[in-house]
Amino acid sequence: MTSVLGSGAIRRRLLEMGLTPGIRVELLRRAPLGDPIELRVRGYLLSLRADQAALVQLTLTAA
Amino acid sequence: MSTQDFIALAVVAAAVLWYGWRVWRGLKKRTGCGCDRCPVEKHAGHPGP
Amino acid sequence: MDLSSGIALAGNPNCGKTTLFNALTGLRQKVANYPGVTVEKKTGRAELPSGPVMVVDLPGTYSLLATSPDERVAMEVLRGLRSDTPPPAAIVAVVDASNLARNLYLLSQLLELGRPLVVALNMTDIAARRGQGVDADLLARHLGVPVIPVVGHRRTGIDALRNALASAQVPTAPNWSLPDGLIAELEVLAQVLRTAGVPAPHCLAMASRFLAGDDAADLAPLVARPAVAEALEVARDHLAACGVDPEQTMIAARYRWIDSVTAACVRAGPTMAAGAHRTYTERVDAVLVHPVFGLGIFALIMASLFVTIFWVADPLMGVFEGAIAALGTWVTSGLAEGALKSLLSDGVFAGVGAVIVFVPQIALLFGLLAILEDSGYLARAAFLMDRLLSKVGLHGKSFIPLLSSFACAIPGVMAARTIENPRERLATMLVAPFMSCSARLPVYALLIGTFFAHQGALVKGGLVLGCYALGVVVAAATAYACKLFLDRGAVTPFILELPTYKAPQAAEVLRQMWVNTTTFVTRAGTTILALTVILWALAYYPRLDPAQAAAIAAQHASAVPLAAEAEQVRQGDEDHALGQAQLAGSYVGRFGHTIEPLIAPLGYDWKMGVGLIGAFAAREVFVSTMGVVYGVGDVGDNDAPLSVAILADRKADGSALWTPAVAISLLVWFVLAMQCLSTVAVMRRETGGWRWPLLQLVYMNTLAWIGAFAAYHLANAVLGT
Repeated sequence: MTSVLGSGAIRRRLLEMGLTPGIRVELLRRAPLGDPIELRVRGYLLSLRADQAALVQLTLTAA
Repeated sequence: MSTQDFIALAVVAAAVLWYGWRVWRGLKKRTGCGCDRCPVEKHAGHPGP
Repeated sequence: MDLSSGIALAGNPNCGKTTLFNALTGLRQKVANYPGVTVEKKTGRAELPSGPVMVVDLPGTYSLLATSPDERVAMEVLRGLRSDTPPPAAIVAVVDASNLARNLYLLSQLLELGRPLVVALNMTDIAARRGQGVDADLLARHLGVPVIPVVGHRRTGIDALRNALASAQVPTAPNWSLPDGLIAELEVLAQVLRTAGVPAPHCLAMASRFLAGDDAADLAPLVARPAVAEALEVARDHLAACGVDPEQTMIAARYRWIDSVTAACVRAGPTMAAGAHRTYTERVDAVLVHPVFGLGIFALIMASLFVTIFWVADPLMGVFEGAIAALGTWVTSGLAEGALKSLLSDGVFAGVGAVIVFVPQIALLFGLLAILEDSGYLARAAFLMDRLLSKVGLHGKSFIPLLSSFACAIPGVMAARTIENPRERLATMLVAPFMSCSARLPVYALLIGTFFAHQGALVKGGLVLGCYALGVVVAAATAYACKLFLDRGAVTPFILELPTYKAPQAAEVLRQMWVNTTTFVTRAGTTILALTVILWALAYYPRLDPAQAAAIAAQHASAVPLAAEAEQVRQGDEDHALGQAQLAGSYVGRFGHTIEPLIAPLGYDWKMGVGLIGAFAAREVFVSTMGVVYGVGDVGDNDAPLSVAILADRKADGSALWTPAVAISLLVWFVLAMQCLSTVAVMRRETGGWRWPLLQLVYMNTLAWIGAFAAYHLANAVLGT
């Protein structure tokens, strides 16, 4: 991933949970109805609302 | 009024007083629920922010 | 070293902190509240080589920069900012070995606190299984603190932990590399703080905290000074101008350090390579949290929960009933007929006994729920529910309060405090009572057990599930209405960690089952007992006028002596008539008849009415009231179980008083009605006024009346009278 947009507590918490620039993030699945989504980051599973996940800028790499 | 009545009514009076005290104590308390004991333990997986 | 002010357990949620706490303190635990917040305070006593010491199990937190009341309390205790809890003499940082990177983030902050610290490396078994074994000694050298591997639920490593605590030292904070621009600004800010009176060794650390966005209470007086506030502003501007974000930079710096530590200390196995190999948890999740089937599976799991409860608990219930009846007879055998005998046998045993027989159901319900929770499945349920919840205007975080409300709405309403958005919070509190609480379960069980006795566990379980489902559906509709009519407010985040699946620990499940069941029994033995006794008095007095009694006896008299069997029937009829007359003339009876017109359209009679009124104090009292009413209402030594008595009751015209339609109507009433006055009181406290609780009371009870009405007439039409 590249960086986390936005400001304030949400952004800081996303960073603190390990979504720091340069880290590998894997999208595992979306919940029924599409939201929230489940990611694997730094070896654990994280679930985020789609609108928060939108703050996370990623560069796609092949799986 | 027989002895039995007397005892029974004494028990009832005790019940009324005790319940009234419980209600009063529940209204006074700022924290906690006023029930005997919360039947809920913390549930798994706390969300983040 | 002196540990007299106690030690604190700190760590991420789900790191096994509580299991470790249990291992250290055994049963010497106490749960209270932190004053002013709805955060649980768990303390206990542990035996260390140096002597007994107090242990605090702090709420799980991901960072000392708090984003919820729970985390704030944890931070405040650790920084010594709470007047009710002294700062700990030593900290046990519980780290989940299978999740090392993220756990080290909090540890990196704990190392800066300047307190003696020991690391408990927990869940090493899970880590090893996933091929992520951690070298504890190497880790200890990198961190500069003792690292004790433990496996909490197997109690290994606890002694080593105890020893390490006795000699715990203050760690040196690690160095993370920051860009020069940031370091420069930090030094400038530190200088300003120095002039403001902050002791030299702390200035740099405090400057870092300011730029990181920390808003803890100990920083407030400093930032109130204009010199400091200005310097902070200047620093931020400078950094923004260079395109440096202090928060992101500092967090990233910590993680770079963390990455170097994990790279050195974690023996990477196949699971770490390229994320290709899927762990056990993810394989299970692929099924359970499937985009399409996930919800269906959830419903199935809940359904089987209820079916199991009935299937297993029914035979046990019979045993309980027999035991209570026998006990009641034995206790009252010596007494002559009279008030005391009636109080005991018709009041206490028939009344409270009717509630106690449901202990098997209650115990099983809590046991099965504990299994689901301990295995980690409930977090998945929250994940599944989030989208649905947000569609009706609730928050993913509403899931936990609403789930708590299935046990009792009161802690659920209070737990809603963690929801920042006021509208979402209010909506959550308003609909919480629709989640069928455990007090309703005896009512459901009585009605379903009596009227659908011959249907088998599948139908009965299904009906209970239907009751719960009805509550949930109506709650959703109500929440949606709130969304439409109330003000929107800001969007709030939903970030949830999904813990690894694990086999539920028998000890933990049994412990939860025990705690919840004893709560139920205690409540029955105290509140419900008191209310039942009061109710008994209102049913027993005033006594039937002797002249009236004689008249009834005369009515049932037989001109000729009857054969034994016929005589028994005759006597039974007479007793019944006497009992009914007594009941009708009592306070309870008179009151019941007064309100009867209100409830007659629902198919109820005055006896049920009395039960409904009693249920306002505690819902289980409906059951015990029926026990009393049918106990007092039958003068003979008839010890028929309540369900039999209910089915046998007849209206004036001879037709059955209680029909399945009535039962369904009552079920709908209990699902929808707000009867717990304690909940009203808590709502008033949480919303700061009477408007919402009264609105809620009126809304729910009106809805209950309408629902019961509709249910009764519909059921009648479908089932026939």
